[in-house]
Amino acid sequence: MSILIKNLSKSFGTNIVFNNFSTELPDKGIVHLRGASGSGKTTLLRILSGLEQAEGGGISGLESKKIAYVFQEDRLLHELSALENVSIVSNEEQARFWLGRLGLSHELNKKPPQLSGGMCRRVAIARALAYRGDILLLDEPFNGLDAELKKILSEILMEVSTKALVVLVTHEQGEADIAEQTISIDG
Amino acid sequence: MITSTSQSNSRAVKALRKTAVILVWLLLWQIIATAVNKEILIVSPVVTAKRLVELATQGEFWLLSLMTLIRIIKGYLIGIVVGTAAAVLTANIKIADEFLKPLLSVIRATPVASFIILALVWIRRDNVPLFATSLIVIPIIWANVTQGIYSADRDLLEMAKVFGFSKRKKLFKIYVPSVMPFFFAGCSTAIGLAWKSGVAAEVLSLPSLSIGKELYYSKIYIETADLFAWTVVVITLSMILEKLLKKVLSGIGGRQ
Repeated sequence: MSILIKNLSKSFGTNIVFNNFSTELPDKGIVHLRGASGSGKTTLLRILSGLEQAEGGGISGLESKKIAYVFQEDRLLHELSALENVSIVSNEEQARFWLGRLGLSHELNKKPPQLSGGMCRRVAIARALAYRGDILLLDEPFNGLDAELKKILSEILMEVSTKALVVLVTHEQGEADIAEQTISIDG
Repeated sequence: MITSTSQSNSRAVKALRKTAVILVWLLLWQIIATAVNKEILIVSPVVTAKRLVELATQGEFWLLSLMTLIRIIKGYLIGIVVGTAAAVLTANIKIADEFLKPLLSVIRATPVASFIILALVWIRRDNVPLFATSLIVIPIIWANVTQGIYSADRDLLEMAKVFGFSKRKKLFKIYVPSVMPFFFAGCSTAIGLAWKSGVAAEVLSLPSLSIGKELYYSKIYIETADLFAWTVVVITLSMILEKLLKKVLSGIGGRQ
């Protein structure tokens, strides 16, 4: 079942982010959200994840759907190891699998402060993948990753998109080439 | 190897400096006592030390110190438990916050002496120091834990919401790590004040077997040497307790 966004309105003070915005998202595949900085891409992800409430309009098709989210910031628990940060949303087997695929097999027991920025990014991505959501929201997931890792992540996202909806926010057109659909948000 | 040698050297220098500072203060005390030359007003450190040794040879000295220590630790622990519970309650339930906030302000603003005198009317005199100590500790822990709860990372709380963390997971993985530094700081601040208020309460309520009672009688019978000796005991116990607490807290903090 696809997700219908109808006449969505949202503003922050005097800043109107969405004014009767409507679109449709498929239940599978990769959708690229495109728009200038501050146009409302992150706000839309936050509304889809339930972290923000729309002031008008509505979204249907989200009912009982599990949503995973890679935030713009990594939002990792600093007292936990990489493995624990991922298994906390699923189980150890899943955590090991996804951390391994993202090249972190040897860093499982390191805590975020001991990891580089790119490694932390991968832990945050592994956490979202291990959660096995019906919808995977990704806000600039390629930040801090080198070309090789970007390629690996693109492949993973294409795999995941056969079973789930992947909503991708990125400024780099090259990174968005894997998307089957592009939605422009003009704010 | 070189690092460890230089570290132990700097530690020795630090200890030496500390000892020198203490010696200078003791010397100053001795000079003032000699200049005043009235033991009823001020006794010298030598006389104080002599009296302290005399007291320490009596079994009752240790019993009195132990009883005061137990009373204050009990009040301190009750204060920590009640303060933490109140913080959790008021940080989570708005009506509880509105209802209990004035109480916190009243406890903070009321002089300890007023509480002690009121407690003397309300409860058994042996329990007055415990009550006074708790009342001093509660607002400190309450305020610090509340601050810790409010300082919990909003981003992490959002992450927990999206990934469906249970209440327990949220508590132990987000709130507890956020609260702990504030809680530890509160515990450290409260221990010194707990001692001061506990002993003051003992002086006013005179429970059997207490340092406060000895302080009171040394004042009544103008035994200044006793007054100084018991004050040294109070200071020493307070310092030992503070050091022990710091060790325990850093141990817990290190494990986290």
